Amino acid sequence: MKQKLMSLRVRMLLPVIFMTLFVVILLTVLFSRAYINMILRQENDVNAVGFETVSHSIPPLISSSVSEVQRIMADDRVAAYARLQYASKAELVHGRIDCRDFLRGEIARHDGIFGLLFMRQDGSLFGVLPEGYFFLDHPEDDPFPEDMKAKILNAPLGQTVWVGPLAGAAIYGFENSTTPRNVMIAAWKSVNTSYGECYAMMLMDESIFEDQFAALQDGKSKWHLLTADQTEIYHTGQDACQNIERLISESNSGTIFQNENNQPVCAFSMTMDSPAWTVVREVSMESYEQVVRYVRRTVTVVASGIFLIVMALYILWLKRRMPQFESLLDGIIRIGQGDLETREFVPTSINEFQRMQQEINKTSQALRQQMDTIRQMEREQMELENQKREQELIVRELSTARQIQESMLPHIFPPYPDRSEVNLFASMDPARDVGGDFYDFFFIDEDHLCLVIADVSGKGIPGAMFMMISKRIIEDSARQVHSPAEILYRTNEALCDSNQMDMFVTAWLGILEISTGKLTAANAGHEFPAIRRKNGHFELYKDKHNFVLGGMEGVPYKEYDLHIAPGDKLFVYTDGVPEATAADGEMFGTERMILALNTCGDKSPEAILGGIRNAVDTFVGDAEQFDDLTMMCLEYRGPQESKSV
Amino acid sequence: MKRILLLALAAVLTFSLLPNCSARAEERPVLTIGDVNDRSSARVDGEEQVGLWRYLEDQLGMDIQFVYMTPEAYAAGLASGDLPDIVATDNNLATILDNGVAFNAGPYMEEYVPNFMKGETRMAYDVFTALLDEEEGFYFFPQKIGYNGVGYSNDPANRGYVVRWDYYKELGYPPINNEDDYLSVLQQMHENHPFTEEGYPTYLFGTDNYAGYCTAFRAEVSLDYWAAYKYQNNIFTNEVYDGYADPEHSMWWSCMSWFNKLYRAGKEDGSFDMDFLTQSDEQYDAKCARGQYLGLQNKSTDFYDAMVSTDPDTLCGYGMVPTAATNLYTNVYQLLGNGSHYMWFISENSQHKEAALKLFNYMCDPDFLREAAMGQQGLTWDYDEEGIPRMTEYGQEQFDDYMAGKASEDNYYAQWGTYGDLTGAWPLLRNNVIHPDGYPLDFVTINREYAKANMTNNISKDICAHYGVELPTDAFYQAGGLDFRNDCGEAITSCMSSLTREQLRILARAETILDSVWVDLVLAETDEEWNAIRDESIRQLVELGEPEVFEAYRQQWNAAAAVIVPLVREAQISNGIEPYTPEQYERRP
Repeated sequence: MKQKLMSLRVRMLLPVIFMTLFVVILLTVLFSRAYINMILRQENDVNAVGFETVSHSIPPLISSSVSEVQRIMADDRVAAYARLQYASKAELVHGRIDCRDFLRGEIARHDGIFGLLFMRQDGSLFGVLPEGYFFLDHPEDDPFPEDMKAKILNAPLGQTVWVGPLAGAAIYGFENSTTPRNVMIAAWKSVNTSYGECYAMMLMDESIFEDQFAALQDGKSKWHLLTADQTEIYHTGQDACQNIERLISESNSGTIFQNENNQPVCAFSMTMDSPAWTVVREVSMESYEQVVRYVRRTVTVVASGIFLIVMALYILWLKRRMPQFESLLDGIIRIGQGDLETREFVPTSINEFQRMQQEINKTSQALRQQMDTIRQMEREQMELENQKREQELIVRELSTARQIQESMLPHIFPPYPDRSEVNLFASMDPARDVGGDFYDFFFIDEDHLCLVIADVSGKGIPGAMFMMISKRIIEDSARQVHSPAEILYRTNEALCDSNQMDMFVTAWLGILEISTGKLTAANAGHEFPAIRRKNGHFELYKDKHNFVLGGMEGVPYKEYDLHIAPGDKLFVYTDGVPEATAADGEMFGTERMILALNTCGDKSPEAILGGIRNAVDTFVGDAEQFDDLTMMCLEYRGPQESKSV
Repeated sequence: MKRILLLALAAVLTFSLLPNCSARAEERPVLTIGDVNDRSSARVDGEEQVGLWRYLEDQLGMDIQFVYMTPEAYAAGLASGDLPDIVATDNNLATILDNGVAFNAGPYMEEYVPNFMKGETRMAYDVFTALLDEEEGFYFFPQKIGYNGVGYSNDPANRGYVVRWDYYKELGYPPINNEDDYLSVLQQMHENHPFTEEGYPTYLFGTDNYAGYCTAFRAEVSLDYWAAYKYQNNIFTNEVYDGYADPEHSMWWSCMSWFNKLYRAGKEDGSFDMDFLTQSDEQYDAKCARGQYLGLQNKSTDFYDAMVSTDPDTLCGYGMVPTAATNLYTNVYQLLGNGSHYMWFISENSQHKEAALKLFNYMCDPDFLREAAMGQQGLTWDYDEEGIPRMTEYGQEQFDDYMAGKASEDNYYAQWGTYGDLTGAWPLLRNNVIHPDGYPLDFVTINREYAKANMTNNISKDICAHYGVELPTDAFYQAGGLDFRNDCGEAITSCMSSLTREQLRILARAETILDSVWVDLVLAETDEEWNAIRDESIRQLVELGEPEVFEAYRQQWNAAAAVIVPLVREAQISNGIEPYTPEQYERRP
């Protein structure tokens, strides 16, 4: 169907196209013929002026130049050298120098004449050429071809003959950047000298005629100056004419022909009286061609306009005759409204098409808005995914940090299976992924066990970092001194030195002498320890608090002694235990803690810590905890036989 | 679409109205450098486009433009003061000072041209301020201070007996120790080859003008022409002689004698070139290029260049015979550069004196000149661990291509330029001057190994092969030739005041007297005739008063020599060049 419709349209367009082409060609041909006639009439007017100028300037120029050379030829210095009648070689050279210097001066005075040569009756030459004014007077320097020489020798007496052009290099014997390209020679025979018959040659290059033709330059003309035997002795422009005969035969014929460079030209010529030279004006018709092209272009544009109008009419006609357009319009409107059902409608005017355009635009706008919404949703989705990935990354990193922190605390229980004197258990449950509490215990020698529990003021990563630093300093100090007060003092000094975050640590540190049960301890702002005597109850031991670690430099710490008997138990903890908070805001408190301790006081340290943990969990229920929960319990069994640590 | 087109059109129209403004914003001031246009060595057509000049322009914040002045424009500028910012001298320092067109840079040298105030150039400053101007001003910047030629070369300089080498070899390299030997060899060549292979007649000897002072470069006279007029200086003693009225110490009279000897030897068989008395330089050059002369005043390469293009192994060309009667133009310490003929001065009327002074400072800055010679440090060359400057692999590759003429447009040195691209008239130091690092500015080509590796001339190779040496200059030293190390004439004449108008008038008339007799001298048939012409000429010169003019000139010369000669000696000795003793040069032919 589409092919048939296209074929129908093409068949209907062909007559319009052919008619347009016919009009273009007809108008172009008619204009070209009229235009060329007008051009030729104008050029003839230009020729008349140019030819008159040339015919009134060149003959006097030649005549005056010939007169000048005749005067030069008659000069004594030239005449003397022409005769070559010298008594000695020195005189000959002096005569030569005199002649050379005279001729140098003469050619310097005459524009366009760059050389003066003279031929004696025996055919030998002398004279001056430029290029530093060198002198020719030897047979081997004779630059002229034999036919040229014969032409000069056979010249009628007193009549100028023109020979050349001759390549400058042929005359000089060499060529360089200043050697003239073409040399024209005017020669004549004269007897008007004191030494008889002589032939004078005046060498000229193009420059002698340049002034004459400069005024005739119009940018499109090329001038040729031909002798009577049709030798081109001057031309404007770069290249000489390669086909003089064609140029002459076509001149003044009113025709346009292609020159040797395949350019359209028209030629006009005129022959002067004396000398009988022909001046040819070669006019480029390139500008004519340009005008014709311009007209052709204009006509084509006009015809194209007509063609488009016809096309518009043709489309209107199609609109009336072909209802398929209506179906298309209606369908597009329904699509714009989201209705896929098609309806039939017959358009009767161009407004129908305008409506169709509007509906298409609406449809496009709706689709664009939908596309924008989809893109916005895609962007939001991508942002959510990115946030999720970042959170997962943080969780993984925190998990890793927690593992690292846990690995730093003693976590293998029983820690000293070979030391039956003590039974020890500890635990830390950070409120976040990593905590600020820590516990530690280690033998500083075979008989002294150091116990530490501490609580860093911050939580999370900063607290954990500070906790690790504190733990390391306490351990290092404890291995150097065995006094809890001194250990805490050193630790405080070290922390204060590098405490940029103003964090601090509460700590309880005790050193148990295994062999005697003597416990020396110091408390830096930490919770009171709880002690259970054998078969007794846990009670808080309200020791004296020193200042917290990392809070102030130079603070002294005091220690105290306790005696721990076999079967006694020591429980130390952080504030996360008594301050565990239930959902209603009530704290677990030390009383509940002592109560819970005593509930399982006769059990092992691990069971005691499990009991406390259960009691706390029961108390807080589902309430979120904000502090770490750290506990450590020691059961002293009394001295045993010595064993290595 | 229509709206876009309208906007584009509006933008085009808007910008089309603004180009003059934008162009003006980018324009920089122009520093002009003027020179007389017939001195091709100063021409820099297109060379100011190389990176070196652009670098200097950026440093100065100015464009540099070379102005070629006709001799008439130059003379007019000296008279009116309407000159480019920097101007080249033309052997007329006294005139420039008298006209007051040169800027006295003396008070500003320490601040703006500190590089000039130390090292090799400092001596030039001291000499000028002491000798040239009564007010101790400093006006002229010499170009190319340093050694003109080092003591080795693969292409020896002139000033000896030049022969057509293929014919000379054919004769078996006969020794030439004096003028008579030379004439004998030339006559044998002519007997064997009265015509060239192309059929042109051959002549014993060629020179391009009748004054022919260059022929006096032969060792017999040991003179050089730095002194003005026809006054010449002895290259060993630095004494000045009267070339007009003292035939025993005159290039001119020596030349006339030599030409007369040639005339008498060749007048019968046509081996004397009568044309040389009147021919032009072009006619002379054409004969040289065809190999028509068997001996030459000065070595010409045109013939060899033409022949080697068809026969790569040719020995057709001109070469200089290694002999004791040779003066090698090497080891010449030019205290004031190339002498008064080529110096620079800042125009008194210049609006850019500060920039001009800065330019001079760069032109004697060893670091800049090292980069001008070898390229940028770190890219084409650098110091090795021992502090020795060496070419990088990239630099060597680019340099070799450039020197071999194989450089493409993007070759580094084609882009950046070389020492020569600063032109023949710049900079102020020669490229063989020693950099503070202890090596020449051009540390690649100025050494014997490079000279040997780049000896391509067949005649040079033949000299080495025959005389058993590495370089042609070795053959000349081996034969007893001496170089120009003692010569200070160029610096001395730079410090001479001009003669008075009356003295110059006398010398002009003296020239006329000699011009009128030179043909008769050359073509004299007998010694008596020659002597009679000579005696009459000298009588006229004495009557004219020329000897008195010379005496005035000689006194000036001696005063300048008393200052300059010791300075040059000191510089040369410090560079390891010992001056010749009287015993050495007096035993020469």
